[in-house]
Amino acid sequence: MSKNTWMKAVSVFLIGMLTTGCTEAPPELGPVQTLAHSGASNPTVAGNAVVGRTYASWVAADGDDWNVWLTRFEDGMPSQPVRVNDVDGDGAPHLQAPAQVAVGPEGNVYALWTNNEVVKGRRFPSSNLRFARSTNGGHSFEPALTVNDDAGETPTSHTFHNLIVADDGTVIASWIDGRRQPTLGGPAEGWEADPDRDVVSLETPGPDIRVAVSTNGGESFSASRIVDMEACPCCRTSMAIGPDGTLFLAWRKIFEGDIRDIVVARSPDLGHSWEEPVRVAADNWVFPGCPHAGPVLTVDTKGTLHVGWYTGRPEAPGIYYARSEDSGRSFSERETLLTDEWVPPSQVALSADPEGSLWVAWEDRRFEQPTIRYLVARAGDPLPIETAMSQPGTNPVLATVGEQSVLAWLNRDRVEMRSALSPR
Amino acid sequence: MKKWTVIAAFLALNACTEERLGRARLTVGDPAPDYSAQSFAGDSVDLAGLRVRPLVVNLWATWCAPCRAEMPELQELAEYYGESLEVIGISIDGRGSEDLIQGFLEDVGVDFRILLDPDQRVVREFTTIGVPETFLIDTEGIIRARWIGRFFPFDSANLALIEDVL
Repeated sequence: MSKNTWMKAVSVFLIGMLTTGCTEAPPELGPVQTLAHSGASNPTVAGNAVVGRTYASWVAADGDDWNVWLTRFEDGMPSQPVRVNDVDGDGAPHLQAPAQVAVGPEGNVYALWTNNEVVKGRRFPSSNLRFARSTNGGHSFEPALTVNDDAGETPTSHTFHNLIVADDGTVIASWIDGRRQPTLGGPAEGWEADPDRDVVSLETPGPDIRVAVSTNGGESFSASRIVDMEACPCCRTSMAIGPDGTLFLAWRKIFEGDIRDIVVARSPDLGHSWEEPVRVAADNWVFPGCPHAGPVLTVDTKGTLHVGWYTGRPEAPGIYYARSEDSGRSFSERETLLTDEWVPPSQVALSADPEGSLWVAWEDRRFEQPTIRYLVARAGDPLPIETAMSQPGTNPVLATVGEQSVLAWLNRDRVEMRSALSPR
Repeated sequence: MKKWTVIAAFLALNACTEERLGRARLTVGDPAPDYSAQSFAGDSVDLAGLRVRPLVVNLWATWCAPCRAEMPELQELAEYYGESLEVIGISIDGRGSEDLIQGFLEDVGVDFRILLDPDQRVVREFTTIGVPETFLIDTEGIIRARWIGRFFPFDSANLALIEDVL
């Protein structure tokens, strides 16, 4: 064999190694299915492995009203959506606080959403967290109840919420709560000024992270518990539950100097008590405003906690990922999913399948047409660098039930989804 | 042989690196981007067409507390300078927020021009990171100041920057 032929062979081998060595091709997604054809805000998806069913929820316009909708997937196909809220117009579109869906081990389907309550004399609407339960697999919903325990008191903001159900059926809601914040415009008409709230400065710089727990299958919720009093005010919360029952909650916290970094707190008793939050990475991002980009959590079957988040730190803004092998007490070095000289606030989604593969999806807003990208990492492998899809859309969400993963997103005002089987 | 080696190196680089656009954030001294959007009144507004006077361009949203807090002062700024300065607000609220925006503007008494950008194109054009962000653009279309986070227009240093472009 001549020297040239040898060099060609080596080069071809090198090409093969380098182009496929980064990662195996992720599973191919099925065709795009449209869940809502117009007037919709971004969706969430959730499922339960015991029940073996996946659901999606979103808020959509119905004339002047905004209502909450839910669809269930049967054999990968979405059902006709059903309306969740019993009160007309009780929903509100919110890209950073979409309607949440969760599924209990007994098959109950739960939805949690925020509404808008216009308050006379106030410069912006207040909101309440509304919750409804379905005990027939999502075919219909019971009348909604309000989760925040200050309903009926001075109106304020309760949003950026998340919802999760433990294996024992305990339902947990998390959110950002503005009840201790100044009302920015004076007390509402008909409400007396509250000296603890209607002040210019507070002892803590941010609103609260709060949780409420239902131990009776969503019939009622406990009084809210404060997890943090220094939350960045407009980034969503995210929860996950490990195989040992540890509950994790992530949010963007305000540190001294207006630093807005991601933290995770753990609760050994499903939200009743909380340990001190742990900072995932010292991004040291100083931003005295609203990033509107919260973190996301998931836990795999081996108990590894995965975190995805956006940071705007000037030296490397972008989307990052880290994992914790010790139940949220410490985190790995962050890995980069996307960085550039400029990356605007972006959403990321995670889910883990029973085989331990990690599904990651995120939005790339650097382009005129925002796109969704995704990758799948096999258990124990580093994140692959290549991505599999460039799908027009924003606000991706992921859920994995059994061997099937569902990726849903917003495409302008349409809710779309694709599904795939997990890699083996 | 060289060709194969170059191809191999090229593919290797492209296979294992994330695409970077290398788009730098706008800074003071850069030309303001071309940008147009629909106004709350329904007409299409091109920022370049408004540069007969300096512009203060404020990106905001109803869900953003510091944006809400600074809005009355922006209105004061618009009233203080009258015809010599144009204050423009660009809302990045999502679709379906028109009633919220209108209610908020009426409550605060905002009468300067408000543009609606539910697709958040302004975020990309102005390479912003969050809200609020505020830009001062002179009549030549050059960015003369950029404020990230809550803007205090009557802070003496900020007022000096504005006076400088009038």
